[in-house]
Amino acid sequence: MNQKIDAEKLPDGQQEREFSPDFVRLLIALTGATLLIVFVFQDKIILPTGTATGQVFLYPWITAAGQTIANGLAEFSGKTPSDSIIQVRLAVLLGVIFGFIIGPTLFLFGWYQRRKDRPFRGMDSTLKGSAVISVIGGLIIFSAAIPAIPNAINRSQVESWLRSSQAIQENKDQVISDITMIAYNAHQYGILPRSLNGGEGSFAGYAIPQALAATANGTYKAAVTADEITLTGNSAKYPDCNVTLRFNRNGPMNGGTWKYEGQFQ
Amino acid sequence: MIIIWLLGGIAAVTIAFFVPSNSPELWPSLNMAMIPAALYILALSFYTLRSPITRTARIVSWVIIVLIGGAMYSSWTGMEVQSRWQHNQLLKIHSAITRGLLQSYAQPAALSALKEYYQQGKTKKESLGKVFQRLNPGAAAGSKIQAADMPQDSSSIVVKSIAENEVVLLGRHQYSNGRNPDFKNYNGKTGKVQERFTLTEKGVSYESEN
Repeated sequence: MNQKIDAEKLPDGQQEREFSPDFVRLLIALTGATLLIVFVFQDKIILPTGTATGQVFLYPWITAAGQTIANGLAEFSGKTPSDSIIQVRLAVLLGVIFGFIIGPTLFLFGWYQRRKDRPFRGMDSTLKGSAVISVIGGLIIFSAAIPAIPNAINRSQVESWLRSSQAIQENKDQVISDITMIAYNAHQYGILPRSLNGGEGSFAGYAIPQALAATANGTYKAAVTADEITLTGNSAKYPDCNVTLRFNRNGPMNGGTWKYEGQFQ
Repeated sequence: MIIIWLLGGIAAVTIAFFVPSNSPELWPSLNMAMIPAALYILALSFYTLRSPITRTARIVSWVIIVLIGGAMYSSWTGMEVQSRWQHNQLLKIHSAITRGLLQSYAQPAALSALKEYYQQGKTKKESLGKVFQRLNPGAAAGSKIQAADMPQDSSSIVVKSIAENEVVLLGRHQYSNGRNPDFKNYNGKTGKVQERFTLTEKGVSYESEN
C-alpha cells in the first residue's frame, strides 16, 4: 500500500497512468465475466443450440463456411435457404470482435503498459493488472490465431484431396450415365425390327453407336449374346477405373447388375 | 485510451458487419467486417509497438503479426473458397442425380410402349400413341405420367404432345438447376433441369434441354 502511495506521488507523470487499480479490476471482472458467458453458457444464453461451439466461436470463418454448406444442403433438399438468423450473425460478429479487436487490444496495450511501468515494479496492483490483461488478450488472440497456422499449411493438401476425390466421383457418375445411355440404346435395339436395324427380340449384332462408344468421359465396349449384354466403360481420366453393367432382355433397370473397379469402388 | 480504442474498434467492425443486407450467406458481412478489423490491428500495432518496447521486440512482433495475419487470411479465404465450392458441388451432384433419375423413369416408359407396339406383329392394330396411352392411362398432352417405381418427389415426367406416331415426354424437376439459368421451363419455372424424350416408331431420341 505504501509502495502504491509512493508511486502515485512520483513527479514524472507516472501517477496519470491509464491503468488505475480500480479500472484494472473492473476490466478484469468484465473480461472474465464475458469469457465465462461466451465459453461456458453460450449454448443457453447467446447462441442457439447446435449453431456454434466455443471453438467455432473464435473462428467466425468456420461458422460462415458451415452456413454456406448448410445452405447447399438445404437447396439439395429443395428448400430455399432463409436469411441467417440473428443469433448466428451475432455469434460471428462476436468472434470477429473478440479475435480481432478485444484480444489484440488487451494484449498489446497490456504489454506496452508493462514496459512503460517497468521502472516502477513496486506498483503491485497496477502492474499485475496490466500483466493479467496482457495474458488474457494473448490467450484470446493465440487461441484464435494458432490453429490458423496448420490450417493454412494444410489448406492446399486438403483442397487438392477433396477436389481429387470429387473429380473421381464425378467421372464415375459420368461413366455410369454414358453406360446407362448405351444400355437403353441396346435395349431399344432388341425391340426394333430388323427393317429398322434392330435385333427383333435379340441383342445379337448389337454394336455401340460411334457417338456413344467414346466420349470425353470414357470408352465403352459391349460383349453381346442373343439374350444378354455386358457393357464395360473404361474411364478416360482414370485408366484403372471401370464400370460394368450386365443386363438381359428385360432391360437395364430390371435386374441389371453393376460392378465398379479401381478407384470407382 | 484503451477504452477509446476498444469502443472505436468494436463500433467500426459492428457497423461494417451490418452494412451488407442480411442474406443466407454470412460471408458478405464477415468479409466487410474484416476490412476495419485488419486496419484496426495495423493501427493498434503502430500505436503500441513503440518505445519503451525494444527495437528487437518490435521487429519480432511485426514479423509475428505478418505471419499470423497471413495464416489467418489464408485460413479465412481458403474456408470461403472451399465452402462455396462444396456448395456448388452439392448442386451439381443434385443435377446429375436428377438427370439420371429422369432417364430411368422416362426411358422404360417409352421403351415399354415401343416393345408393345412391335409385339403386335407386322399388322398394327394400335398406333404407337394409343399403345402409350393404354400403358399409361390418362396420358394426354400436359398430363403427368407415373412411371414404374417413380416416387412422389419433385421430379416428374410430363406428356408434352401425343400423336399417332409420336409421343414427346419432358422430364423436369421442381428445383434442380440446369445448365442455363435463363432457360424457360415447361412448368413455368426458370433455369431448372429439363430433358426431352421423343418416342417414334424408330425408337427413343433423347435431348437434354437444360
